[in-house]
Amino acid sequence: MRLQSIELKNFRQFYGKQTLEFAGASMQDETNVTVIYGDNGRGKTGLFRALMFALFGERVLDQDKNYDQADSFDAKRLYLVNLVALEEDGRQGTEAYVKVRFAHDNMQYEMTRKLYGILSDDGIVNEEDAGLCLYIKDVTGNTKVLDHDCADDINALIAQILDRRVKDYFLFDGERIERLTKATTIQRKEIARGIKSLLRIDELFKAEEAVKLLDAKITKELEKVSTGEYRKKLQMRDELLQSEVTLENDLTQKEDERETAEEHLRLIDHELDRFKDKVTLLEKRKTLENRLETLRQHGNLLKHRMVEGLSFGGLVLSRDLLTQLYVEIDFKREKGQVPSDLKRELIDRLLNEMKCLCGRPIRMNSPEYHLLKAWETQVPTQQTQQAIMGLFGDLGASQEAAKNGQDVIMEVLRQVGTVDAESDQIRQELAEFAEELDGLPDSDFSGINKARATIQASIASLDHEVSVQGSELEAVRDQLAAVDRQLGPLERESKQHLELSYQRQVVAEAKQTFKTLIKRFTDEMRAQLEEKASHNMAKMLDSQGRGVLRAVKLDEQYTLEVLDWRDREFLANVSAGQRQIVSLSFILALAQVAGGAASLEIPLFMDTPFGRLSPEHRDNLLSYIPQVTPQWIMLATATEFTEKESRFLKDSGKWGRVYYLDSKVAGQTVAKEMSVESFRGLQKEGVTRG
Amino acid sequence: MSNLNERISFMLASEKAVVRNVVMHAIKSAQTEDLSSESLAQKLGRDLSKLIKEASNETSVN
Amino acid sequence: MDNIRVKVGKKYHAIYKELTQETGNRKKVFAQHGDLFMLCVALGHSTEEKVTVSRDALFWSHSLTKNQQTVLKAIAVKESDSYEVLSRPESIIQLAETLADRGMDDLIKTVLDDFIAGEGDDGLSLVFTDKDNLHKTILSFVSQRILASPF
Repeated sequence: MRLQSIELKNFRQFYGKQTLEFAGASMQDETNVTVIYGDNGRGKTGLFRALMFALFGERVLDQDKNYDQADSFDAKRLYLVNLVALEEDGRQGTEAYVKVRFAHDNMQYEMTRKLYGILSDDGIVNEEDAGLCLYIKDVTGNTKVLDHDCADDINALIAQILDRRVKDYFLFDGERIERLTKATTIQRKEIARGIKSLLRIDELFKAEEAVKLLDAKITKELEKVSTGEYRKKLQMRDELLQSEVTLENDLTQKEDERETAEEHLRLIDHELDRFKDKVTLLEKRKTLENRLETLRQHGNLLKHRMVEGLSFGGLVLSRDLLTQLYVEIDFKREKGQVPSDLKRELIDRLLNEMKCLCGRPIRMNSPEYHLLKAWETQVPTQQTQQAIMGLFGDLGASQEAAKNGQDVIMEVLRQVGTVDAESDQIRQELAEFAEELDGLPDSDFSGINKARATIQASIASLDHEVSVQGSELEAVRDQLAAVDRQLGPLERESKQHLELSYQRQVVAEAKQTFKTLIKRFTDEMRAQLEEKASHNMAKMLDSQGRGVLRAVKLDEQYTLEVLDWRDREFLANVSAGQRQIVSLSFILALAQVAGGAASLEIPLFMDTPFGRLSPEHRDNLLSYIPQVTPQWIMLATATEFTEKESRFLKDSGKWGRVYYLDSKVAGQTVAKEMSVESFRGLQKEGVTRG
Repeated sequence: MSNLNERISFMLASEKAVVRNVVMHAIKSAQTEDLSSESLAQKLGRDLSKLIKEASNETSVN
Repeated sequence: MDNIRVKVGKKYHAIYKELTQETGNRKKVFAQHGDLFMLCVALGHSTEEKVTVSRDALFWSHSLTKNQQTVLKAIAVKESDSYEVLSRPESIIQLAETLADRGMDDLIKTVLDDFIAGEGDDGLSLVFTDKDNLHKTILSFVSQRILASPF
C-alpha cells in the first residue's frame, strides 16, 4: 500500500479542508520521506488517527489506551469533529470527513468516511457516522464505486489490504518504543501478539486448535463403537486428551492471572514512580524526624538540668554579694574588728578585774576604762561573733557553690541552645520537605510497598504452579504419545471400524505435525526478526554502541535482549538512547519481515522519534530508515527537527515533502506545505524560509 | 498470505501426503473462513474422508 | 536557723504553685518553692522598686539549702547594714520576704508577663505549657543578669 494523500475536513484539530500529499506515493518515486512538523497538540497524531478512521472507522488508537492508568480509555471523550467548526455551526451540525487516496496492487483507491457532529444546547457533542464510500480504479481505468450500502464489502476489501489487527504497529511513539524493551509478561505478550498478527500466523494456531478438537471428537466416536482392549486404550486416550485440555486451560488461566498480577505490579511501580524522586527525600525526612525525636528526648533531660540550674538561681545572682561580704568580714578580721574569741574574752576580763595586762589597776571613768568600753561596744557580742564567723565560713562554701551553680547554668544553657538550634534547623528543613513532598504521608508509601510485596509473592507462587502444571502437562503428553503407539497395532488387530480409526490416526498425526510446524515456523520468524533487527541495530547505533552491542535476540517467550560481542545479555546495561535504538531496530524488523509479504506494505509513522538519541544515533536514523521503509512519515516538533537534522535528511536524497502544522488559533490547525529544498528548520515563532 | 502458505507447504514436504492435506486444508480454511475453532473442527471432520481419498489418489498417481 | 514559716505575697501564691507543679502537658520549672523564692530574693535585692502586698505563709524555711540560707543571711546583713541581724532569724526571713515579693514583681514584668492569664481570687494565674519553654526563658534571664553584673 502506498499512501498518496489524505484530505481532511473539520477532522480533529484540522479546521476546514486540508490536504496533505505524501512522498513515495508511487513505487517509482525516488523520495519517500514526509516530515510533518509542528508543536504538540497541533494534530500530528491526528493524521495517523485520520488514516485509521478512514480505513477502519476506528476512533480509538492503541496509543490512546493509557497504560499508566488503571481506568481504561474513555473513547467518548475523544471528539473527532473539529470543535471550533462545531462551535460555529452549532445546532445545525458540522460535517467532517477523511478521504484517503492510496495505491495497492496496481489499483487506485479512494476511501472516504464521513461523520456528523452536533453541539447540543447543553454543550454536549454528539457524533454520528455519516457514511462511507470507496472508489476503486484498475489499470484499464475501470471504476467501481462502493457506498454506504456495501459497508461490509468495503470493510472486507480494506481488511484484505491491511489487517486491522496490525494497524497499530505502524505508528510508533516514544512510549511504545520504551515498553518494548521492558521485559514484562505484557511486553512479551504484546510482542507475541504483534508477531502473530503481523505475520498472520494466528490462523495457524486456530487451525491447530481445530485439529485438536477433531482428534478428541473422533476418539470419542471410535470409543463408542469399539470393544475390548482397543476400547480400553481409546478410553484412556480420551481421558488423557481431556486432562491435557484441562491442564492447558489451567495453565492459560494461571498465566493470565500472572499477567494480571504483573500488570498490577506495574501500576504499583508507576505509583511508586511518583514517589521515586521523593524516596530519597522520604528517607532523609525519616532520618531528620528521628534526629528531631532524639533531640526532643535530650531536651526533656535538659529540662531536669535546667530545674537544677534554676535552684542555683538565687545563689548565683547573689554571688557578688557573697564575695563582697566575705571580703568585708575578712578585712574586719584582719583589722581585729572581728575578733578572735580571745579578744572579747580579754576585754571582758580586764573590765571585770579592772586591771591592766601589766597589772596596773584601771579606774572607773579613766581614759583606759572608756577605751575598753568603746572596744566592748565595737566588738559584737560573742553570739553575734559566732554568727559572723559561722557566716564567714558559710560564705566561703556558698561562693564555691555559686561558682559551680553558675557553671551548671551556663553549661545547660549552652546545651539547650545547641539542641534548640539544631531542632529549629531540622524543623525548617522538614517544613521544606513537607512542601516538596506535597503532604505525602509515609503510610501511603509504605502501604504501597506492602501491596507490592504481596503481589510479588503471588507472582512467585503462580510461577511455581505454572512450572508444576507445565511438567504435569508434559507427562500427560508423554502418556498420550505412548497410548498412541500402542493403539496402532491394536487398531490393526481389532479390524474394527477401519475407516474411522484411520481417520483418527491421520488427525493425531496432523496434530503432531502442527506442533512441529508452528514451532519451526515461529523459530524461523524469530530468526528472521533477530537477523533484521541486528542488522538495523548495526546500521543505527553510533560507533561506540557498535563496539559494544552485536546482536538483537528474541527468545521463545518473545523477550527482547541484546548481546554484546562476547554473547552476554546486555540490555540491562545499555543507555536510554541505545535502548531506543534497540527498540526501533526491532520495530523496523517487524515491519520488514511482515512486509516480506507485499500486501502488508504500509507507511511507517513515527512520532517524535529523536527524544533520547545522541546526534550520531539521530543522523543514522535519518539516513537509514528511508532506505528500509516504503514510506516514512515523520512527525516531529521544532525542537527535535532543527536545521541540522533537516540538512542531514536532505543529504539522504529521500526527503520528498514537508508540512508545517500551523495554528494561529487554538484548535484550528492548518497544514502548510513548504519547500524541502529551502527548508532551514523552524524558529519558535514561525517558519524560516531560505 | 501466499508467501506464508508456500513456506508452510515447503515445511510440510517431508510429511505423508494425507497429513499434509489435512494440515494445509485446516490452515486454508482458517484463513479464508471466519469460523470458530469448534465449527472449523466440524468442517474438517466433514471434509476428512474426502481429504484422505484425495491423498490416496495422489499417492497412487505418484 | 530556726524553722520559720516563710510568707510571700498572696497574689503570687498561684505563680509559686504553677511553677513548681508537674502536670500532663508540662514539667515543673522549679524543684520547690524555696528555689523560686531564692531567685526572687536575689532579684529583689537588686531592685529599688517597692511592692505592697499582703503575705501568706507558703513554705518552711528548713526546706532551703544551707547555701540558700547563707545567701539570705548575707543579704540581710547587707540590707540592714548590721551583723546583729544574724542573731534574729525572724528578721532575716522577714527581710527576705519583702525582697522576694519585689523580685517576683520584677520577674513578672520582665519574663512572665506573657503568661499571666489574669488576676482572680487566688491572685495572679499563670498559664503555660512545655512548648513555651519557660525553663529556658527564665534561665536565660538569670544568665543575662549574671553577665550584666559588673564582677
